[in-house]
Amino acid sequence: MNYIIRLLCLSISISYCLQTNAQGPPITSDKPIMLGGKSIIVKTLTEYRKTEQGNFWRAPIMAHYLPTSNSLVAVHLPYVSYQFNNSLLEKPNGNTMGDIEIMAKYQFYRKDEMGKTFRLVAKTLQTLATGKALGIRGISTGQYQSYVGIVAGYESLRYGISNELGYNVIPNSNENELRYKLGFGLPLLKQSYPVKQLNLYFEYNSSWLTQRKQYSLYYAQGIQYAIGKFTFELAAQIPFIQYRVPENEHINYSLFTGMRYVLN
Amino acid sequence: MKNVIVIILMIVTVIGNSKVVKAQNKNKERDAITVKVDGLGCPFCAYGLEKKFKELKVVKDVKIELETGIFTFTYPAADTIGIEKIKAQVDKAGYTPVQVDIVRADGSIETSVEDTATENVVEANASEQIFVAGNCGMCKARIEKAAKDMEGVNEANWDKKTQILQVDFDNNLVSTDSIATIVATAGHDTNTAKANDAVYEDLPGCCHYDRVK
Repeated sequence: MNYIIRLLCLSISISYCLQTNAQGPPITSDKPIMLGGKSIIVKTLTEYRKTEQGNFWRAPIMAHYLPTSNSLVAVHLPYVSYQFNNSLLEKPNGNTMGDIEIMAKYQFYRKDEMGKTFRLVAKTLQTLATGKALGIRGISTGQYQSYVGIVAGYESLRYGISNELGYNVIPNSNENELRYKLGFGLPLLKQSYPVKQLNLYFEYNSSWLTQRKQYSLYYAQGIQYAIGKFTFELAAQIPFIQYRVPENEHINYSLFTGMRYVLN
Repeated sequence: MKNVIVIILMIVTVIGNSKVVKAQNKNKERDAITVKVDGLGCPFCAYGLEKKFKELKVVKDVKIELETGIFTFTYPAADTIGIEKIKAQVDKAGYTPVQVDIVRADGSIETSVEDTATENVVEANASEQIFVAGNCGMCKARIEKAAKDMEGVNEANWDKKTQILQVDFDNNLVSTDSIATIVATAGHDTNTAKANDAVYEDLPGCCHYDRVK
């Protein structure tokens, strides 16, 4: 535990010590609305997750549309591939459509100054029970879920911080979850327009299953390259804390690879 | 009779051509617009802003400086875009327009800045040059703002290449030393006043100029 806390402090200190210019959108955490009305973004963020239960791939195709400069609607269509370690299962391996997600965001506060902005966004994410009931949260559960949260983002030409706090409800289950995400972005190249950026990300995702009293904290290290309308990203996520999580549900690590394209 | 018709046709052609040329020239004439925008905290922000203005289709020569938030473009003089329309377009892009300046093709200037402080207009009776260390467009905006915020300063213009701040001021109200001190307080060394180390360190990375010894 002490080792994990020291590692946590070190990574936070590193992100504060290296001060340069602004950055692009975070990888695993969310961001406020920045692109302007009538924008369309298509993207994907494929996750490979290695757990004690098995290995899982989740590759969603995501489409985001901004009807106005302070609102966003999105749909996520995931494709899932699974490989359970327990070969006694009827079907330990397979591919399936995952849980389709519909998201909406509304930016209700904005404070702009020269070269910086602070924005607050209300967010909801509705997960439809379209996937196979694999029982792996975040991959495919076959259960309806409803999430509401607030995203707070500060972006400046020196650094960016994104925060998200929200609550996810799965009816008729004991897996309701309080989520908090914190991300720091650090550009490696001088700020310029047209877009040409290379960014590092330090992101923390925490999950508190309120009824099971289980707490997990994950740390993701990511790198992102943005040029013109394209953005490419890679991240690796490891667990710092998996408190009271049964051993057979432990996550070993996750790898993310993604791409975004601003269609309009 | 034939000759008369030919002559009339020639005259009509000449008049018609001159009108077409005049119209073409008018279309070539463009207004130059400069907008100061707050909230541009990232390159994708600038993309969103340019995209919103390109919806107007006839916008050309777009340039955006992230450090200062200065956004410039040209617009056909014949189509006459107004300050309120420009402000509305910036707002639709999701950012805050601070100031709009339009230099029309005929040379006239329109600006959104209202001169509400007419009682504070300074009659400059002195003009001096002060060396001020800086690096970038953000430095320029900071240096000029620090100087102009002083009572008694009428005009302040800092040149990035020469590192010289040209100030016009009322020497009954303010002196070059006091201007230099205020600029140093904002984080920029001068020959007579040095910026506080902590203030210098707190400047954005691009503003970390070589300290004056």
